[in-house]
Amino acid sequence: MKRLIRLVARLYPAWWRGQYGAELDAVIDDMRPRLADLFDVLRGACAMHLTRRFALPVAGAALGGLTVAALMLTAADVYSSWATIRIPPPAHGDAQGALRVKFDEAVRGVVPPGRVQVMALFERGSQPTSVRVGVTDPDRVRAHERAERLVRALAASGVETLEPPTVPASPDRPFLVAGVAGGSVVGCVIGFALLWVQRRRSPVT
Amino acid sequence: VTSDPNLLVLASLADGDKHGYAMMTDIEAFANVRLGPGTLYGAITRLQERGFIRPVQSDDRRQPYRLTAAGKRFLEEQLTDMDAVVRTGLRRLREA
Repeated sequence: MKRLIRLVARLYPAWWRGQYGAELDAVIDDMRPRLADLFDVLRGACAMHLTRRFALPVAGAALGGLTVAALMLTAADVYSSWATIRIPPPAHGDAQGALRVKFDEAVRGVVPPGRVQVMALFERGSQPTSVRVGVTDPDRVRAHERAERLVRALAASGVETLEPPTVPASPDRPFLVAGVAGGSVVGCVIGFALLWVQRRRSPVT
Repeated sequence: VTSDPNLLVLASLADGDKHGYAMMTDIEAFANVRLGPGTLYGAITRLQERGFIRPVQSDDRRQPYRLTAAGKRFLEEQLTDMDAVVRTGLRRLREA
């Protein structure tokens, strides 16, 4: 029985055995062990794996990150088709305003509201020389078709197309890494808060 | 009075340093509670992490432990609370 209990005692975490392993073996040698002691040591080893000082915050961080990742990965897919257009150099003071009107006219009737993303590309100075235009849609083919129609409408208004709309290959996951990191941080903070409450309620657990 | 292994270990160390097996036999004698080795060392680990007990220098693999000042204060608080409950319970039983 003693040999069996000593074997089960090997299940304690390495950091714990490094500090208390020899003592526990000495106690097992000195005592008259029962079957219940075998389960007592097994339970102690499991508890020590679970109640390590930072187990709660680490588990919270992992749970938070995994939850956010699962939520983001199971959310409905959205595809973006991107094209690059050149902004005509300003001929007079209101050139930028006129471009804005042209752009809004081209978008209207082609792309539903809220489905267009615009990213200005600055080459030098403060004037954007070209613009990346993206059209998002839950359907990848429709996203591409709408982007092509938008570029054609812009071309009719004299806007030059530098790069035609891309065919989206995979759904957008723009905030996956940031979301998982944020979820982990929140989970970690909740874990520390729970640890603090636990310590306040019972100073030796 | 209690089966809390943390309190039993602290109470066992209240009259002097003891190693693990000495604590087990002492606790069984004064509280009639037999702590298994896993339960005993779970309590020792927690109490040492909280600074309520500390190991005493020893060449033997039977490591003795000593109650710290914080451990004495904690034990005293817990026993005072427990004492109040026991006194109140006994008084009410007498009055009933």
